[in-house]
Amino acid sequence: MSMKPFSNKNLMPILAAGSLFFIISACEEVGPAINFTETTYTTYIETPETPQDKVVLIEDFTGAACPNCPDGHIAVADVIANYPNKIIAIAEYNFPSDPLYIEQNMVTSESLDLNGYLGPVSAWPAIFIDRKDFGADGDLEELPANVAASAAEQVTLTAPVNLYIENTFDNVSRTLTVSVKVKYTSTVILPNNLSIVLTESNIIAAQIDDNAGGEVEDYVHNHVLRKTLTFFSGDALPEENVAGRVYEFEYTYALPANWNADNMYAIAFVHNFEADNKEILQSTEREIVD
Amino acid sequence: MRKILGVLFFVFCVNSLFGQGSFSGDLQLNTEFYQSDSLIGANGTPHYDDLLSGAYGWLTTFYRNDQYGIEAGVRFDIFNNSNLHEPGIPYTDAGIGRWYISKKIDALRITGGHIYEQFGTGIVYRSYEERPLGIDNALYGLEIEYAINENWTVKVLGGQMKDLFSQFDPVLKGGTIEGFIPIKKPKITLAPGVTFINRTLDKDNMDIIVGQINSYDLVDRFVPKYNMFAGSVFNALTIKDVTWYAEYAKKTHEAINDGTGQLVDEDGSVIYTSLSYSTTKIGNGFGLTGQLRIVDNWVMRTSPNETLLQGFIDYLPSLTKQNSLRLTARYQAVAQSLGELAYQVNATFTPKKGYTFNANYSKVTNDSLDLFQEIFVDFEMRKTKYKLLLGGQLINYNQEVFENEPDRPIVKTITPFAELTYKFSRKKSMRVELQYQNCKQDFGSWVYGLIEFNIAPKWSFALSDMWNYEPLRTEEALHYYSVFTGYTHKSSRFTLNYVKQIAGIVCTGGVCRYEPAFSGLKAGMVATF
Repeated sequence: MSMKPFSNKNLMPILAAGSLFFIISACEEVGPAINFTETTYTTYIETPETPQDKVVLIEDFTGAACPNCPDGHIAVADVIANYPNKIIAIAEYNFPSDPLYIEQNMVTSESLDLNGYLGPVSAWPAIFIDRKDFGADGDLEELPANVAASAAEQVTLTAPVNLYIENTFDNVSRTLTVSVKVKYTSTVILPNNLSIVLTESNIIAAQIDDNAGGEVEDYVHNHVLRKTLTFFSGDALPEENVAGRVYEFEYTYALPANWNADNMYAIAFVHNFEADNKEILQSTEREIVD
Repeated sequence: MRKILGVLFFVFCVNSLFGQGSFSGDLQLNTEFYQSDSLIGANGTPHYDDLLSGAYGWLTTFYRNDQYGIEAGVRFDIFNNSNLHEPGIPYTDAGIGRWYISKKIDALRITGGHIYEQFGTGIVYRSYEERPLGIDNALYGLEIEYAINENWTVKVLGGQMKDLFSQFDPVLKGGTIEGFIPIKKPKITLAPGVTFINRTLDKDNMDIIVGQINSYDLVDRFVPKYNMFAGSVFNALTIKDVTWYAEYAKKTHEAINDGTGQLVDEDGSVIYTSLSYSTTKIGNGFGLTGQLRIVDNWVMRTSPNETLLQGFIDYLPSLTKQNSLRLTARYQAVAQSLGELAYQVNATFTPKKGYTFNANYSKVTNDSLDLFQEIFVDFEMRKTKYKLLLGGQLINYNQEVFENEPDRPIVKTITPFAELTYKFSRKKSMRVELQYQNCKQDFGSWVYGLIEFNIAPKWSFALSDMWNYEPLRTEEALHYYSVFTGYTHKSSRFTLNYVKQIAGIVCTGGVCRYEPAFSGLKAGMVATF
């Protein structure tokens, strides 16, 4: 008995149904990060203060496996040296090939989320100066060579919001309490968020460094983002942010045993929270252990 | 764009030289001159205060060569201080509004460019143009159509929805399989189909959505989806004089605007069915049609960040009767994509040639509210010298919901109407309309009269007035009059219309939008070649 040949006319609906099944079966997606943590704060209005000078926040998308990233580290260190107390840095380890070694623990979920939020970038190092779009090209990131000029532009500004940070650290329980005051000195219309970040410096770990001709085993990693105490894209400052508006926040976190509290800072910054405007309005930092 | 035009130019020229193709096209041009009239609310916008005029037009050209299976088209769009897309906000730009090229290879047709397409009845997907409402929802992408056999067709497409001279960032892909199954004994036909669409949001739109959700109270936050999947299954069953159409559409949950500006995470569905009976065995013709549609959160847009008529990927027209007379069309039931139960029954009876009775009942509700109800009857008598239409309409209209006007009572209207068309000779005819609308809410009661004189095939003149003779919103009983002249020369038509037009919901093809009042002169031209 001969079989009826299978015609391509019969094949089409099968292919179509198969494609449909494949597409539907691929329905699961991770989705964007949503803040499901309740934030509590105290808020009131007082007489507006004199505005603080601008403190510039530089975020460096970097990686231990990234051969060019030490160039970013150098550029950031240079501007910190040139503008004492006017520059704050955070190194966010999110290079795709990181960690360089499995025991390195500098990549955090927040660093990866921030790449999705501020980028995604296609090249490392990518440096964000106050999350401002200096080229007006829709991209916030800058090359290391542009950091000095952009930072110089920012440090001349005054901030529409004053920031104060206090840390209390219990050495026994390793519990850190961070208290932040946000005081608006002029009215801001755009929605604002507050971010609080913990960083650690002087971490000795391997780094691929083109400048050194390959891997450097005892490279000193500074300003490494360890944890955001707020949601990675900040917690809302949801009231009407008129001049004189004050918020008081308090966050508590137990530091893991392998973090050296003596080398750690708590950083707070207030930033615009719109899809096309994420600019940082003011930043401040304080050592965890004074 | 130059490369695109170059390819199309090449297609046009080469095929014109060597093929048996045909070249056709048309021009539609509208110019509006604005004359401020504060009494009717036609003032206070840039058009009335400073710009004084605006224009918009489309020059469309097509090339078709059946011998080579090639079809191509280019459309040049121009908007000069146009009032078309968002009435009150001038828009100026010009450029290629549409281009496409299509090639047929045996049973396969491939089309690239701006594509107008509809799957089934359009509940899941329709890319289309509705110029009077400023809608041009073409898909900028690629479509492949394959005729499996003479009765079955598969279409797949992908791309982005057009947004004026660019595209919305989210990406669409989808397909449909539609067929026709004739069964000879008994005489039955089936026209089944399956449709599928997937829309993927872009990062910028998602950033806006995430920012909004993160600002909500904790209980209202949710993780929004990049991907929305929607599909439908449908069939038209015809047994002799009876046709039953049924369609069920379902979409996966995603962030949608709940109508107050808040994003909510909801899935959606539509059930649509119609049953019609048509025969010439009763009198000189009898037809009965019933339609039912249940809509639940069927918001199909490129992203929830789009508003008004922007970024629609589906076609959800009003289910109720689409009236054409001025006063009977004053209150219309815009489809409620967030939720409605709508149904209508329509009967048409022609006892003998030249006499037709028509009756329609429709109702729209949602979970807790009566939104719309219409009872409509008319009688038409056609004689050699004249045509007479007499009828009446009762409407209950929920203005709070349809026009988002808080604390408005239900608008109740009673509208009798008459229309007489009289032929003086083979060329000369006159049409008269008289309508009265009794209404104790909204603007109050109206009288509308129109007299139109036609000298075929060239001239047409009309005078009309819509008189708010018992006004409730204004001190004076205002007149909204119109003086119209039309001239046709071969395949070109020129119109001039001095208009006072009241603000309200304007619908075309069952799709509606709110339009502010208009005062001024409208000049139009349509030419085909």
